[in-house]
Amino acid sequence: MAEDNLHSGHRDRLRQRLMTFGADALCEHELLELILFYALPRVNTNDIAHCLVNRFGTINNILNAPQSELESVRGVGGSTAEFIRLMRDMCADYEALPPEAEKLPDTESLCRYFTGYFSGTAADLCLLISLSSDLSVIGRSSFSAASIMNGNSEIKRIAASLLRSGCSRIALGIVHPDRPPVPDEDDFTIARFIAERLEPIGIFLEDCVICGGGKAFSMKQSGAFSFRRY
Amino acid sequence: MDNMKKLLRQRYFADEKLSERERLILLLSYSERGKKAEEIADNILSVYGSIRNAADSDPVLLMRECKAGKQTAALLALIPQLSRKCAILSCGNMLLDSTSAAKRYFSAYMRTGTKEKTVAAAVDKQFRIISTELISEGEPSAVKVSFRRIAEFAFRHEAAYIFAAHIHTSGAATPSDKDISATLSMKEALSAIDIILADHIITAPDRSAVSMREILPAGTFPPVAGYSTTGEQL
Repeated sequence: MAEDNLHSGHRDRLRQRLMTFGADALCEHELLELILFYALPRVNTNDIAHCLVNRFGTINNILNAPQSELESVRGVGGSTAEFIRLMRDMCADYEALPPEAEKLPDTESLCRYFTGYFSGTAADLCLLISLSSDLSVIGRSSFSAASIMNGNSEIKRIAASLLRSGCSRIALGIVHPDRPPVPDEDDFTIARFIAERLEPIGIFLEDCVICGGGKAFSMKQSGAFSFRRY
Repeated sequence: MDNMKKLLRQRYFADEKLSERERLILLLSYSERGKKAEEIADNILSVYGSIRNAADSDPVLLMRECKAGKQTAALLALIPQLSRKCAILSCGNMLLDSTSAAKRYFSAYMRTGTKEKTVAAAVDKQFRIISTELISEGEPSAVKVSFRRIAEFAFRHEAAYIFAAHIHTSGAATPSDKDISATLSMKEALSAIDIILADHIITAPDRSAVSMREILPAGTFPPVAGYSTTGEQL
């Protein structure tokens, strides 16, 4: 039991170091030990990690070694070799470039994006899109217009989602399905609410687009709202 | 062993293609017991949308938002860290003796995360890397680079030359006006105390990278014997 606690303490500390400081805080055999923890939850993996490094040299070589060669190392069975392969594949997927994000470089493309999104929407809805510095869409978050106007805003959830995306620029779309896209007082209130709450944390509103009847109106283009100039 | 884990394992290791959700459940079956793997995989995909986004997230937030355990958070955090380590290792005993070598190295080094960061590398006269360190990390819109920290780093490692690099986490590697003026200020500040800035590399998540020495007019950077500008697109 005491030995179990010793192992679990060691595992916990290695995990904590990874999560706090990243892989640079671990040497190669420690990184390997971390991987082996998951395949061998009840075994001391330190010796196995050292054997793998001695046999293959680098973690690169270990991840890319054929299964049969991995299994030739003492302590590495079929299921451990399989897990190493799974981690290799996960890393390869992570390394593959993500699909190219849609770019919205101007007012026209922004308006097209929002009218497309809101097509068929039957209720007054707002959509916040997160934009990269080159105006690619990197995320989006929807909420009801009523939630802002009734004081039950989900600003905390919205801010968390935007911060998670790493964006510093956003665009807001508001749809009124049953009338033309002419902004009213409530639309200005919502745009101001979003802009004022997010600007202090470094997230800036690029534009607010009102959609209705399949058409769109850009507040920025009309000069109806003060927007940050880059 | 849990039936779902067993079935997914059989399918995966028989080279059958699994969906994103199934791959995530398979992965989490190593860190969560029984049905929890499925439940947490669904939580993660609902909050983060993809395995990649979850792997890049703050592990503490992920644990809280998705009701995941520390083992799961660490397992996901392992993916980008391991990828990056492997990418750096595959650069081998790299000499930063050309703009393409510098671009490749820093593109591998800066690969992970959502925060903009600046790193510096100290090299000897043969362009062998002595050390690479994080100098600063900040908001996507701006990273305030401490020239003092770079100078301290250079002196600590007795660098012959210094490379600086930073990543545009959500965009292209194209340098902005701020990047250009930061490069010029950095070069001036370091030159004034006889530290030679060999290059300033800007990288982006799409693996592209730009050398400021190649971008700026000839003569902007001090001459560095043995450091060649290849013009190779990355």
